[in-house]
Amino acid sequence: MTNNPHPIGEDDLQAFIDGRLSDERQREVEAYFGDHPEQAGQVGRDVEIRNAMRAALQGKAQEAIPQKLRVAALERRMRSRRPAWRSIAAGVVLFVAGTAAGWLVRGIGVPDAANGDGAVVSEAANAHLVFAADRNRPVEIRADEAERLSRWLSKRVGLPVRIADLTPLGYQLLGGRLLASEDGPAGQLMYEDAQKKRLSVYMRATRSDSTAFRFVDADPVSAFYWVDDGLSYAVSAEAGRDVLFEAANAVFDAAHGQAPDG
Amino acid sequence: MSGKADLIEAEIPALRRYAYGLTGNAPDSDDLVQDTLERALSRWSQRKPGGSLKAWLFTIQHNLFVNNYRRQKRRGVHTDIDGANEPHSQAADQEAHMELAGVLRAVGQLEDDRRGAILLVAVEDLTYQEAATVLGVPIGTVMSRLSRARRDLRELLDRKSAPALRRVK
Repeated sequence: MTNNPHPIGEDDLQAFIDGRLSDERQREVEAYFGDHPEQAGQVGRDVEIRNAMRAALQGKAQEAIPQKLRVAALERRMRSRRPAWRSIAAGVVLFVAGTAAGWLVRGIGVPDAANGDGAVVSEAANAHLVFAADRNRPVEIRADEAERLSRWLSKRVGLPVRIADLTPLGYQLLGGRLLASEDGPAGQLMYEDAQKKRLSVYMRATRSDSTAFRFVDADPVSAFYWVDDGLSYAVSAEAGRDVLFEAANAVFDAAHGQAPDG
Repeated sequence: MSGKADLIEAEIPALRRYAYGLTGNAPDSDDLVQDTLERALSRWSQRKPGGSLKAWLFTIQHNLFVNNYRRQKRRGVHTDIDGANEPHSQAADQEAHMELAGVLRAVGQLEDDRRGAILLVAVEDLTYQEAATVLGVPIGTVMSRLSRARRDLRELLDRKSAPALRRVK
């Protein structure tokens, strides 16, 4: 820089005030001030104001952190909110009645505009209808390789995909597959009960904020869907709301590394 | 999980200071910080690997402020100043205290964009590049907001007609 001095600009003055110039540039700016006393005065005042701002706000950063802003307290409160909405979910979830033909068309009857990611439910239901009906090859990776399946889906979906144990509800994991959606790779886990009725869990990344559970009741496939920590979920089956609700809870808990909730 | 708590809590004092500088009052600023932390916790897995946690948290907080808080325009620096600082009981401190109160009031009168820029750089010590990331603007925009913020502050504080904001030698 010594050999190649360049004119002092406004950026230099700002960096001077913030103390971010190299020693060499600092000296050049100081020399410049010798010839420009008025600017030197302004910059000197800017430095005073900067120091006063820092002093005035310093106390805020030195205060003890209020208890309610502690991470443990925040997490407790966030957790405790979930059972609350879950226990009243039966009363507040949205019922979107209609025929399969109606609600499988993307966007129709699915309240996605206000909150969360409603498109996922159409994708999930379509995928459910296609692959739940496939007796020969319902999955790409079988349940006996569950760990590999989880790793693979996590990698492709881009977020941790955890596999819920639905055996308490009578559903055995068959396995899973990767699907394409308009919003990127999606994972589908397929489960089957003793009557060979199938239930699928569909997941893909989303930018939407977390939501409560929502319910779509349709013939033949119903679904609970929600957004949680960057993943959009839909649990679909030809089953009643109670069974789906239990399954949705189990999927939610598995995603949080919890045994069924207490 | 305690690693996550430690990492986040290390940034809370600065987040509270920035929130206070933005909103100008303690209730709003702690609400803003709480919203920021909850959002950060619920999106913890979406951080960019290797990215600056501080910049990530400040970005969340700044966006929440822009989207949720700034329309409220509920500023109360002048009534709340004593809460933000050590008590100044000695008379000799009075004048300095007035200067600090005046500075905060002037900061509150800046345009939101300029206030964000100068707080991030001059108080929070973010680099110009980090401030650009947090504000979602090019670095040149940060520099011009900074320059304008400083000019505005000089004018607000050194106006002859505002004796309470009078310059302290």
